Amino acid sequence: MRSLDRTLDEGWKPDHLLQQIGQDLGLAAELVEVFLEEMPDILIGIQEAVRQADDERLASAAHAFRGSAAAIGAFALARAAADLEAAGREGRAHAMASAADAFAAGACRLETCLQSTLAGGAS
Amino acid sequence: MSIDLEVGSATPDRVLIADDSRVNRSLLRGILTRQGFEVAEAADGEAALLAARENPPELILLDIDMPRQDGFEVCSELKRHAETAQIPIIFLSSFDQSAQKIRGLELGAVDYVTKPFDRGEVLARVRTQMRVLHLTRSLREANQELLRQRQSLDDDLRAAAEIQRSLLPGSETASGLRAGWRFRPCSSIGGDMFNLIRLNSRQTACYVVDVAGHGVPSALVGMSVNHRLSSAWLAEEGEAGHVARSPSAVLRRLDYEYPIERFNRFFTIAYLVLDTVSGRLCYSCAGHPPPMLLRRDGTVERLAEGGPPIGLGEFLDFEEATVDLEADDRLILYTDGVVEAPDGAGALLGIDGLEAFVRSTSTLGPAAVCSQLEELLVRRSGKIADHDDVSFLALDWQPET
Repeated sequence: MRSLDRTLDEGWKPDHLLQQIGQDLGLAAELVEVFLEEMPDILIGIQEAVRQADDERLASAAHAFRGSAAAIGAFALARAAADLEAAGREGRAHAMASAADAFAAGACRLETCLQSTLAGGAS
Repeated sequence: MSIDLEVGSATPDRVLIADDSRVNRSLLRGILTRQGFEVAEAADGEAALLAARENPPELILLDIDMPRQDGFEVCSELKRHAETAQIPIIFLSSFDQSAQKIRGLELGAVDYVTKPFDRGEVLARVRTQMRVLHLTRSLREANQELLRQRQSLDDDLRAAAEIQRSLLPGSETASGLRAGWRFRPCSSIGGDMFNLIRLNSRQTACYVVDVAGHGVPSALVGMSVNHRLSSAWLAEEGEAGHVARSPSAVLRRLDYEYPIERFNRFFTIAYLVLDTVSGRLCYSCAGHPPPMLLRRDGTVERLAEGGPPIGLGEFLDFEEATVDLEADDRLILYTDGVVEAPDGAGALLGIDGLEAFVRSTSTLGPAAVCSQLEELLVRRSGKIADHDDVSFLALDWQPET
């Protein structure tokens, strides 16, 4: 986890996370792993909800993503998830196709970044 | 009696984390378990309620913003049920919104933590609540222990009161006398004692003792005096056989044996010896309110001869006097709790008031007089023996043949 010291993505602020948890690198790695584990299912949930124009499901999946992303310090994605959550609440899931695609792309970049961070920590 | 407050517990404190975000739960778990707390997790409101009921934790960290059942609803539900109502709740709030915080506190939460969490803040708030919780618990335990000890003292006092009561005379004790009495100690037991003692075939001694103060110390002194006034000590062998000692001699002896330095208490006593055949009564009162003699014609004589209270020293002697009773004359003995019973305005019954009462109840028997007096005192003061021990005896004499 040495590479956690650096900001690897403009949306993710590992410094912030480390500061929150008292520079506990072990706990930071644990949290990132948990996030990576649950992220794919949530992402699929968001995309399906948009495709099926399921407002409630979109709000719920985006809410889950927002909470977890904010917890690890990925604030840009957390804000994007909050927008999707609001759209779901307001009944605009059907209009969120391109936003959901952009969100998924951002999430993939974050995933890559987190994976490499973990790998860096393991090396 | 002192109770130590021990704060802290042998087993680790359990914290239930209710948050729909697994990352958030892991984060809080990581922070808390590293500090020795035990952690349980719930991913939504329903699971939180179930976990809290099945195994109540010491503290709940409750996310406000959960889908379906939000933190406010969960909090209300927990507060509604007795088994979970006392568990302290700290809300986890996503935004620094005072409206949310106020609503949470109004629902009964003890604190809140704003996301993103800061380890130091989370730990400080959790520890503060744990300290409050443990202090409350140990206070409650100390309180229960005090109640238990108080109960044990009350039980002892009740048992002591039974013993004291068992030393009082029966209502038909001495031949030639019809007796009625009331004994109402101010607390469970008191410093009043009285008795009727048959000394020989025609002499009966009667006394009323009132030890200064009330409660256990006075009762113990009263019982000591009662024990001392046994028949063996009250009579002596003379030319005419086994005869009563004179009342003044008895009081002098008591004054010698009970100086105030002995128990740090003085007492008053009215001591009478009645010849139950001839009706001759010899008495002496040591600082005691005067017994009354109600004659058949309705006049009342106060038997005021005597001296100072017992224990105050040998400066003044005890005088005694003799009166002759007629058949059906009535003797009234009492302690100052009777004449010092205040009414609502604080006015005392007084010896004159008691005398008027004695005269007005001359047609009743001794037992009925006692009931009437008790009613009178309750009517005046609202409650009998609220201010002092109350003792009262009525004795009707019929010549023995």
